[in-house]
Amino acid sequence: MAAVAPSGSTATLSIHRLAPPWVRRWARIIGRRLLFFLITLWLVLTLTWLLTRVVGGNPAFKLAGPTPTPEVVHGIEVKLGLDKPLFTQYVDYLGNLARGRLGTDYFTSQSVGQEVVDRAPATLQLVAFGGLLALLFGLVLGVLSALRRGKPVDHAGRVVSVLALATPDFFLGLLLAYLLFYKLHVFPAPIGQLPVGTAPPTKITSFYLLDGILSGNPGASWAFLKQMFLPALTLGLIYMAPILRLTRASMLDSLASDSVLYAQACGLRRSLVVRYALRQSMTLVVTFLGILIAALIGGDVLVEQVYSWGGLGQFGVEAVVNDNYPAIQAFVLIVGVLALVVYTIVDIVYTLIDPRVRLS
Amino acid sequence: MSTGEFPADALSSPEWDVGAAPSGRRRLVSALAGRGALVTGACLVGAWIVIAIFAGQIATHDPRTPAGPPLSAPGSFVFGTDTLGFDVFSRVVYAPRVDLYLAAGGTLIAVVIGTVLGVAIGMARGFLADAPMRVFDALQAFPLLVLALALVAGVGQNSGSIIAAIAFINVPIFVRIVRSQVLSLRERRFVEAAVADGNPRWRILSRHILPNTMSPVLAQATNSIAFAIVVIAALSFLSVGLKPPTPEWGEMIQGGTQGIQSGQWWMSIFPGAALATLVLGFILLGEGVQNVLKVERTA
Repeated sequence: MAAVAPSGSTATLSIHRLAPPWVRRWARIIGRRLLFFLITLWLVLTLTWLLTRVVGGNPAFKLAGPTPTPEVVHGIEVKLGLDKPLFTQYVDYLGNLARGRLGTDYFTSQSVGQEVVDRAPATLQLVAFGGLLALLFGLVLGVLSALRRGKPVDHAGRVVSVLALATPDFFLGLLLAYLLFYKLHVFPAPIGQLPVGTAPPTKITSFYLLDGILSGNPGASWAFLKQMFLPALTLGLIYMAPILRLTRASMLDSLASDSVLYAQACGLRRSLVVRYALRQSMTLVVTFLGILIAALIGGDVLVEQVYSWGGLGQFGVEAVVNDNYPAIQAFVLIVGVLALVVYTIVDIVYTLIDPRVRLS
Repeated sequence: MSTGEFPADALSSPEWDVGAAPSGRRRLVSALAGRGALVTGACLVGAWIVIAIFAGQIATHDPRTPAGPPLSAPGSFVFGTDTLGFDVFSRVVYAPRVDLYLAAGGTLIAVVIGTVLGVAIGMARGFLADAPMRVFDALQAFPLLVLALALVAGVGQNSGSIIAAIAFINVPIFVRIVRSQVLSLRERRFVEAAVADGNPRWRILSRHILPNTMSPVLAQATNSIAFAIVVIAALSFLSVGLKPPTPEWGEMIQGGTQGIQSGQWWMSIFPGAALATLVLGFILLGEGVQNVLKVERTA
């Protein structure tokens, strides 16, 4: 129904008027987010592009094989379009990007878009599970620390968190692999997403965990879960530290707040008061968790390397080391997009936790 | 004056504790607890600096030449030998030289550049005050390790590029800290008074504004050094850092990765523990400095 919008807003779509208020509000919020995101993404992609061209090595050299004579190298440069002036290359890149053509991997000749999309689920599952473990450990210890401030539990929690913060992730990964795989045989070998001899489940969502269950092959899902546990535990233990500190500080603040005082004065039982205090302190923790997961999507490189996980992190590292320009750009692009999705989810969860929050 | 059994500690902050002064023992404990991090951190860092300086005297063998049969467990060789027969102990002891030098160097450069830029952007008004921050935002959107990786892999695997990479990834952090301090300081009364007194710009900047920006910078600097050490080790772990046979903990950990799966733990665990203790030392130092200066840290 094409009703003309009232004269105050000539730019609004006609249907806009008919949508319920909450849809309009969310459309506005997401629209603004998207605009801001696209600008930042463009900036990030351009910076990457410049960095790799200016600072990076010459991929033609690496592709030339055993006899990198100047003629051979130059021939490859022409083929890849690297001999054109920088500005022309940049305009070409933007043009292709706008048309959705992300380019071909210099080394495998496959579409880089496909390559990153293939590897994203592995990283997403790992990071999500790791983040969940970090949340679990950090929240529980943080709340305990806050409730029993100054007691041994608090000090132990602080010691553990500083230790976890100081240990580099690749070392912790190796340590856990040694203890829990080699010594105690609790978990399988760190050789990737699935153990040797297990075929991946049929591809429905391309998330191994779900695909196994959905295609009636729960054994594959279980095997995947077991393989995922150690790297996720590594991530969880390390990132439990900042969550613990944040929860503790946030919880202490909220326990000292007026609303908790009032709840106590009303005579509510202790567990209820704690629950209310916890709810108040959750917004900070949720924000941090969102930032953490978004950062881990591109930043779990080392853990992926130790456990041969084959996700985005490893892909990005290899691309950078090989000067695989289209792969690098695609990697940065997908990390940025996934980060935006995570931030948006966090904001939605925000409003669910704290109804007073109004996203402007 | 505690108002009930729950949660007594949250309510026992000074404003509630009217009248009762804490006992002598409690004061000692709280003073030590505040300084505990500083002392422990300083000891750890100090110990490693001493080890780095006196590595020549402490090490049992030359870290750059094979010393014995490969893959021997700790015994006659204090920490055992690795896959090529190098003595693990000597390499562990020599490695901090490289790490400390690169991490401290890179961070120092980042502090200097970051402070200069931060003051400039902070004192600017209008477009120049916001636009550069968007660029830094975009820069900080990268996973830092990948950024450092790109720089080192591209420019070359030598000390210079590693220092440059560390400086590069840390500059935005310091710019942000200094800029926010400058922004809040420039509206303060004492700055206004200094301007009214007729002080030239440079004097106001150097005498009034700059010294007050230094506390958060110092706290962040120790953290940055800790992070830089981890980054250097990570780069070596990915074989993109300094080339062997230069002893470096990350590279040693990587060399021992295969061994872990068959139970040869000494090649990775010792350098890893060394790395963890040095990083721990800097982190504790940072916390201690923060406690002492009572400063808010910008993450």
